[in-house]
Amino acid sequence: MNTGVDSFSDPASVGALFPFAGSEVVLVVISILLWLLWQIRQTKVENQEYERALAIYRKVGTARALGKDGTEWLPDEAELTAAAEADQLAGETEKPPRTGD
Amino acid sequence: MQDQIESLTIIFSEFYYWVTVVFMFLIHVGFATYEIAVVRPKNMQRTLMKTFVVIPLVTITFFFFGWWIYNAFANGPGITGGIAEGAADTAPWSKLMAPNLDDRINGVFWAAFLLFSWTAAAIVSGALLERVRTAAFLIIGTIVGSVLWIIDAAWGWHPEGWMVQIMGYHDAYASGVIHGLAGGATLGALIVLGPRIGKFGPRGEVRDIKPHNVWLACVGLFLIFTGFWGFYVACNIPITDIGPDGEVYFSATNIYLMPTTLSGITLNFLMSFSGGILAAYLVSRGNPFWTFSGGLAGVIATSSGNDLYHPLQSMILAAIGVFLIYKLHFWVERKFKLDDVVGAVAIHGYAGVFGVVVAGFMLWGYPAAAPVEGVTAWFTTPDGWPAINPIGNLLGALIMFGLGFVPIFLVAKLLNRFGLLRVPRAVELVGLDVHDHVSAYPYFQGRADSDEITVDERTLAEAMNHTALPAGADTVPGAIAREDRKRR
Repeated sequence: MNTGVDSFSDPASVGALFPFAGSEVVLVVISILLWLLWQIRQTKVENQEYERALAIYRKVGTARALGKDGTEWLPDEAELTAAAEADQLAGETEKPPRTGD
Repeated sequence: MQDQIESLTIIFSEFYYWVTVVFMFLIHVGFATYEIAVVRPKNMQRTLMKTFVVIPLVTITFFFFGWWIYNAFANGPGITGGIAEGAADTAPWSKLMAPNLDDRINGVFWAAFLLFSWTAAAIVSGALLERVRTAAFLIIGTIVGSVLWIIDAAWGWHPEGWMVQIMGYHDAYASGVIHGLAGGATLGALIVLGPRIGKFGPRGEVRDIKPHNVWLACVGLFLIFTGFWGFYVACNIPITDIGPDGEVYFSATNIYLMPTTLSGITLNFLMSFSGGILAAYLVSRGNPFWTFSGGLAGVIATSSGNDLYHPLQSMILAAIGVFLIYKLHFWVERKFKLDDVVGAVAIHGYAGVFGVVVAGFMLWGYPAAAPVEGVTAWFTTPDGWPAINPIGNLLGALIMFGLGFVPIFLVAKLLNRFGLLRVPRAVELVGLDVHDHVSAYPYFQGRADSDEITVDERTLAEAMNHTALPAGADTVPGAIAREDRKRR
């Protein structure tokens, strides 16, 4: 059994050195499909990344995230969320009474 | 290989191109270093990934179709003939595109051209920094690197290319073929993408968003210069017999198989590099970024004819080219609010076009290439060979720039239609890195709201607080991300 070349005694007659010569077209088709799948997957992963980022910024506030240079650490995210909730609470407490109340 | 001279020539050429490839890697070390340095710390890691991952994508697609395009499309096709003979040997399924004792040099040539392809894609990258989506850049980079530039190389950078044979187009070191085309593509993408948040003030005034590390940016440019040596020598055939019938005369040639000397191009590379730097230093009043970039622009502004110019001609033309492109860059920036982060349109696009146009005048009447039977050139030498001329090179420069600009403008429009060109505004504000990656400088405490740009960012971030909506960002021009569009 051999997958390609079994003798180098006559180099001029060897030609292709790689194994499974004759499978080139199949290899090209598979490789092009892999490339296209990679490109699609990369786009999806990047879209998910931005959705996740925006969800965090909505929760903690974009300005606060900017001030912290991001929220890459979970403890940061928890801290920022707590700060955002405290702000919200303070805002509600300080709300001026409605006329007629 | 049976003949001793043939064997030596092939082995020398194999090694020669192989070394140029190693040198050209330094261009991309330089690009990576430089781009990381010019962005703000919040964008460094995404910038690096974008710049680096385009390399394998261009590589595999150049294997799939790029190399075949170069060998197949010299005739147009359909302008001076059909698909060129011999192209089948460069198709991805060819047995010669693999280890094969019947061929020694296909892969080495492929690699040299591939490294030019990486460069074409990388040129586009720098201008779009800090707001382009990685996916969008990878698609644009692949199209520029594995399709567009190699079409124009087949047309105008091939001894039998129809632009060379009919128009007498001459562009020895790719002022137009790579730099003009990539500059045009960059402009097409930039127009649709729009400027970074904060680049232009409320009255339209231009703000200078500083590189976060000027010194590293300059080191990156120095590395690009080093790699440029590999680029220059890879544009030559190091040794080939160009003697008339029956006479042997070995010489180095340019890409069109017309004689030049490695000595000559060495002189011209260094003199144009120097002319560009000296002019840029004066015109930019010693701005480090522009002084270094001026060296690059100086070489590009003379590359079309650096196989034949006198070194002092190269130096003077480089200086003139750099002065013009510097002025044009800032005029376009002010007038059209174009935010080109690294000046790529100017350094590559305008300088490339300048280089091609000037070579048409400077080398007027020189033989462009040996004639192909059955093709009539617009202008010929007394021997009947296609002649270099100003009209051919002027039109050629427009073709090169346009072949980059039009398709990439349309691709950018298409990507923007699906919201896939630009990152969401909130992500751009906070930084491309910070939501998913540890900060590149986790212990860096130097940030302060100390200038107009950071103050503007803070105001805008507060306007979109808890919504991450582009409410306040509506005033920011440019492409809109799909996530922002959904939340409107």
